[in-house]
Amino acid sequence: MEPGEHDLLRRAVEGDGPAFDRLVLTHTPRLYRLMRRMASDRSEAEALVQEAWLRAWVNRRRCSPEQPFFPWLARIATNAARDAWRRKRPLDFADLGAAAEWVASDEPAAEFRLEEEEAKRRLADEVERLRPEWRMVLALRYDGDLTYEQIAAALGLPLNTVRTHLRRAKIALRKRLEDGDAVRVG
Amino acid sequence: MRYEWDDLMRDLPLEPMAGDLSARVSLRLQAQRSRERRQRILVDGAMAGLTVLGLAALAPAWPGAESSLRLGTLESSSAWVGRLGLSPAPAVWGAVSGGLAWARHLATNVGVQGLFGMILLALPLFFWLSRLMPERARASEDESKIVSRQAEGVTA
Repeated sequence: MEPGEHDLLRRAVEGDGPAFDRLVLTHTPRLYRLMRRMASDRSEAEALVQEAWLRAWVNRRRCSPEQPFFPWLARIATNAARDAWRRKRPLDFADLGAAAEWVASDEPAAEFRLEEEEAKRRLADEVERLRPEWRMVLALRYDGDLTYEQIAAALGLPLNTVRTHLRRAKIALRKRLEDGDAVRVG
Repeated sequence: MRYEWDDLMRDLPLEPMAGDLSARVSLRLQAQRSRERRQRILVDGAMAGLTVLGLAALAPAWPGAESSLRLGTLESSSAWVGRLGLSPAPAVWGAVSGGLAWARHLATNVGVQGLFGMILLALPLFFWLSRLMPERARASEDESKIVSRQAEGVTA
């Protein structure tokens, strides 16, 4: 937590509007990055960011100033995204259990060469085509910079399921990149 | 070329954020706060109205109610506590039957209008007390639970 954020957070939790607006200024870029990775386009991401902040304000008293703010905000944003997607089509967040065992092997992909920027661009495109629940886990991990435990708590999933989602997403991405004659990731 | 997975994933290109997104969020929050303030004023007005109605309904019956609403003395309370220690069942039975007799006495003295007035007064009283609860008692009641969950990124 940044120095001074504790006091800011405490005032925001007590209903101080300007203090809450300072939190908005500080955390919106990171939240946008997280939501943009999850959402299908920019306007959806922006709508989710606004919805998340609105929910955070309404539920501010549930936030503890003693704890880091962003994981709590990410949890709210993730729920907002799930609610929005649930209205479109159901998501399967069930524990994959034994059914996921097939992805347990981490075999190295074939060697391909590509410029780094091109690799990132392609990878970003492929991430966007992943199943929403995998995209969500990847976004929380790499854009939200949350720990596995925080992701599990944010999504209400067992830790092993989070690991499985990440592994499956990684394997799916590797496969797609291989198929597209792209890049090797280690 | 071989790339590290984590390095790549942490640095994927992304459409940049609109420069005014934070400002738009703040505007929506301001609108939400105004709405909350308006709702609060409306509800407070309604509760104040109920209080006035309750007082108006109770006022004519107040002389009769006054004697019924007089609190017991400290001596009578300590005597009852003493009886409760010696023989609990008769003491509790005495309190229950005394309470029923008191309610009958009150109903006779204040009448239907007076009872209605008391109910009208009780509603805003409980409402205002319950509004204090989430910010004071309930917050501290749930605090430990919330803190432990928030440590994992939970709540809301």
